[in-house]
Amino acid sequence: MPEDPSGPDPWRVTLDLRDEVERAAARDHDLAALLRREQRRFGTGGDDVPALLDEVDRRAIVDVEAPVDSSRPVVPQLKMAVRKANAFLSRHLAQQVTVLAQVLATSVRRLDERVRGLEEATEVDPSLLPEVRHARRFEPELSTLERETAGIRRDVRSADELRTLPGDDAALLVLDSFLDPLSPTACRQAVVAGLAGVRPGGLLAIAASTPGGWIDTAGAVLLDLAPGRPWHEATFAHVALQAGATHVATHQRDGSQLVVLRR
Amino acid sequence: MTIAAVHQVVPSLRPHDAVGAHTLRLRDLLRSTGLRSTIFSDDVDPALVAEAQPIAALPPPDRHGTAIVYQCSIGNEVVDLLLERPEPLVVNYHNLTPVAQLLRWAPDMAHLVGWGRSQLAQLATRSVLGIGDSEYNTSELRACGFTAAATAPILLADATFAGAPVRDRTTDWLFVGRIVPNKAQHDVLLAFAWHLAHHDPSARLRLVGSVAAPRYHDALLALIDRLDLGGSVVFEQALDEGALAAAYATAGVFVCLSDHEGFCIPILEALAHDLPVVAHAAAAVPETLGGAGLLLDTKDPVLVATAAQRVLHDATLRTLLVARGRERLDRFRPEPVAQQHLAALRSALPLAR
Repeated sequence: MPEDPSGPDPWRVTLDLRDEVERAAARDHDLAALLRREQRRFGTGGDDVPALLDEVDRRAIVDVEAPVDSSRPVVPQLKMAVRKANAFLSRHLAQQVTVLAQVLATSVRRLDERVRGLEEATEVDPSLLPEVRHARRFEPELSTLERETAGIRRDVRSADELRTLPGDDAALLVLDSFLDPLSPTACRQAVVAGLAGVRPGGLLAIAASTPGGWIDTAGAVLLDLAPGRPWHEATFAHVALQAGATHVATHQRDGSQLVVLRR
Repeated sequence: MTIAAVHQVVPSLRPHDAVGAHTLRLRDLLRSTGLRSTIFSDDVDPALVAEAQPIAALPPPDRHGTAIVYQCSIGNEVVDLLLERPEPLVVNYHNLTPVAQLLRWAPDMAHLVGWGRSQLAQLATRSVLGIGDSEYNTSELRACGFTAAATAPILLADATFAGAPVRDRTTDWLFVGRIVPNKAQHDVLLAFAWHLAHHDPSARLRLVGSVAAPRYHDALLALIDRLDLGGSVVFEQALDEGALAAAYATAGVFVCLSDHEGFCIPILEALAHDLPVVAHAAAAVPETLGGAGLLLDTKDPVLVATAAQRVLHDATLRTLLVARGRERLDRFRPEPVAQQHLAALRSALPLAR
């Protein structure tokens, strides 16, 4: 037997790893985000729609030639006889099922193409975005909130990062600057996803342009082509209320705003 | 009237298969008490033909002197026959993977387990007892409608507990289990990718197990390509007992991230070889592992890799886990488990011995 079976409680060790994990993931955010994306890709549903549709196409061809193998004597011959006797019925049913499945798969494929078209139409050319980090302008306020909430703080700087949050346990989650040009639907989804990443009672802080500040900084091309524009604080408060959260405060400075919501 | 014969029916009987090995051991246990016991199956590996008879050879129906134990782990047409027979029926349940976990990668297998679940509900109405090999499985039996249910772990060989002499430990990661989506080898690969990038660029991951879901296996190979893990990951499909023992004896950590396990024998095999375990707390895994490993409530790749790294290099923690592992194993040794099976059967059947 080992000499010293006493030692740290494994459960305690697991809890202690959390801080180490946070620091490690922050040091190589790109790899952490890549691995978490891959993890989603392997989910039971998966989000690889073209691959799923290819699979539907493949399986739409119904095979009526049932296997006849068996380890027992005579059984293969018996199975073959049954297969032959039912062949006309099996083929008739299989043809109909195959046609139906292929029509359905084609319909879904066309819908997928439409959805992709819509998604492309709402994307923003990153080169047009102003290089503003609104959260920096509110670091004193954010530090105060961090002290008050006394827990994990996460700063999120892209929609992709928001989709790959490591957990829903943040005491303070900061959405920094990427909401400005989003379409109203995408912005609403981001707020809801942000609230879902915060523990009950925790805070979601949205650092964004004010509508007036956006006009000064966005540039003509982005102003014309962006699918959306920054919201007023009242709009954030309205969406928060619909999502079951409350609007706590708003700070505004130099064309930027920090809207604080409580889950 | 007492029952003098307890026969078993199993959909398939194969070597190197947990349910098959359990069925053989239960047969031997029943015979050792003086009961008559034969295994019946229509799908028997040639290596085991002497151990079983075809279903058609089941003795004539005998309501009073015979009982039947059905080993349930997949849907099978033999259930229709069992439902019609008059003998007291016991279902020994080894769990059915949730359909949703198989549907995307192995729809054929998903169909079989879905069928098995609907059969389980039918069996509940006809059975005098359900035996789950973990509390997790037993709770599923109760949820399915079994009014009498007991827990008795799977019967393991003495050799499982012997453990091969530990050789020079490497820092290899090891997982043992069939290549199927519910075993989540993809999550092990993702965590290992972080480990390779941030902890040990010379580390190696050994994934031991037969390919039961080829499409999932293909997806794993594609993932290895995308993450550029090629030279560091080894798939090993068929290891004999000696080679498997050597794998446990030389690995540095056993990483199990399964989404679903009804019991998970490889965890016990790892503990028997003093190999520390990092595992995701899913299904029956927490129950099998007890407090003898690092149990994680998420499979975040960074967390898993950090936990494995801690286990590999924290000598105090390793010592603790090895000691806990040995204690944990005692619970699953053949003799007490055999008594649990006999006690469960006697609770529902008037056995002659």
